[in-house]
Amino acid sequence: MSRLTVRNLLEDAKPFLQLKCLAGATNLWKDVSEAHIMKAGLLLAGVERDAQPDSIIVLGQKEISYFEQLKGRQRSEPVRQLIEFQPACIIVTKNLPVPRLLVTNCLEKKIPLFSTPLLTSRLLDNLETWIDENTRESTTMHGVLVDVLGVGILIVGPSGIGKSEVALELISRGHRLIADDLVEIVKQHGGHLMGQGRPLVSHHMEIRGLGIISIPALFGPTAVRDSKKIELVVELEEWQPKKEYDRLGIDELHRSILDVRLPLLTIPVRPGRSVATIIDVAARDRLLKERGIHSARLFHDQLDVVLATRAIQPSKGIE
Amino acid sequence: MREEIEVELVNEQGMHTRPAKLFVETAVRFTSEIEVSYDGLSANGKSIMGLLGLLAYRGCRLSISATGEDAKEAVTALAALVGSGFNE
Repeated sequence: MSRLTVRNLLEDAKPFLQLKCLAGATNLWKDVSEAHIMKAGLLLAGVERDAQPDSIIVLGQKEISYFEQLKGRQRSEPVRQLIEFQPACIIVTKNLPVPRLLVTNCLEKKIPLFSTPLLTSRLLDNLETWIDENTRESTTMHGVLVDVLGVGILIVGPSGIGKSEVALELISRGHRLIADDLVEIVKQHGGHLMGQGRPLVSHHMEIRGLGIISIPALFGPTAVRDSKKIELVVELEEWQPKKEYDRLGIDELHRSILDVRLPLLTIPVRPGRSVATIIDVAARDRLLKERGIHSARLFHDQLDVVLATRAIQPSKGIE
Repeated sequence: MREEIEVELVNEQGMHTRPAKLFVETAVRFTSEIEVSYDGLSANGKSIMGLLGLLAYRGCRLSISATGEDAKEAVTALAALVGSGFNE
């Protein structure tokens, strides 16, 4: 998982959080990847005492109003409470007036203190979403990601094996391209993988002999999509006469990407074999399997029955 | 054998179509697998669309790595090509 610090919130998340630094600018190193985000609430009144250290503490209208109705010395206690929890940072929303005492204490203790024009609810929402999106595990793979009948298929294999050509044939049959050659893969919190391409480049392909072509311009907007859940990996390789390829399809192989296990098919390429057709059929077979129908195993079981029956009553040939 | 080198994109256009083509033409002369990384992304050095996908512009620092028997020669040749600004 990538780590995020308070500095990332201030600088990289600027468009989403619009934080302005009021104190603690030299102390932005704390990790907020898994930080507890909390409204200060009763923490100020000293009622709540089990806040976790390194939290992100948010002060909204209620907190600031509560603070403002306190008189003189009463104000130092809630500030002390806040500081004592050693928050990763403190954020005041709605551009509310930040109590001077809080600013001076944060300056002194070097605790990052921010203000934002956003409403509390909006800030909390954006904060959680932004941290969530920026801490997901990701990787890039060389391959082509296509959507065949709704099944996201990542086609991998050595350069020059014809991945792009296979994808082009699938597209010309009405299937959809997500990315060619550079696929960004992000692990979602649900545990599945989403694949996407790079801006501009992903919906173009380079076909030897043709050059760079635009898929949506040639095939229409339905020939592409921006991202797709990856459900199957197809590995293309040169046909090796001595290698045993899967002839039965009863056992399934897997490939792990970011620790997510995906079914893997290895398809040997040689002249006269339409790899696109094989992938099209693989997608249909995948859909069947998702519905609990495993053709190869079903056939295996049916054959069991037929052979067993024949063993009991030996056939005398065609009558 | 694995070799890696870091080099700055110095040409005006950055990793545009012609530079990507020249890079790939050089890369395919070697049997090593070649990767080009930038900004947390890693592209196949023998794929034009892969390299273009990096969206790397002038001033970006690319990391070129090669794995294979001719890895050293490959990174040397590719770094020289990038360093020369793709002979622009």
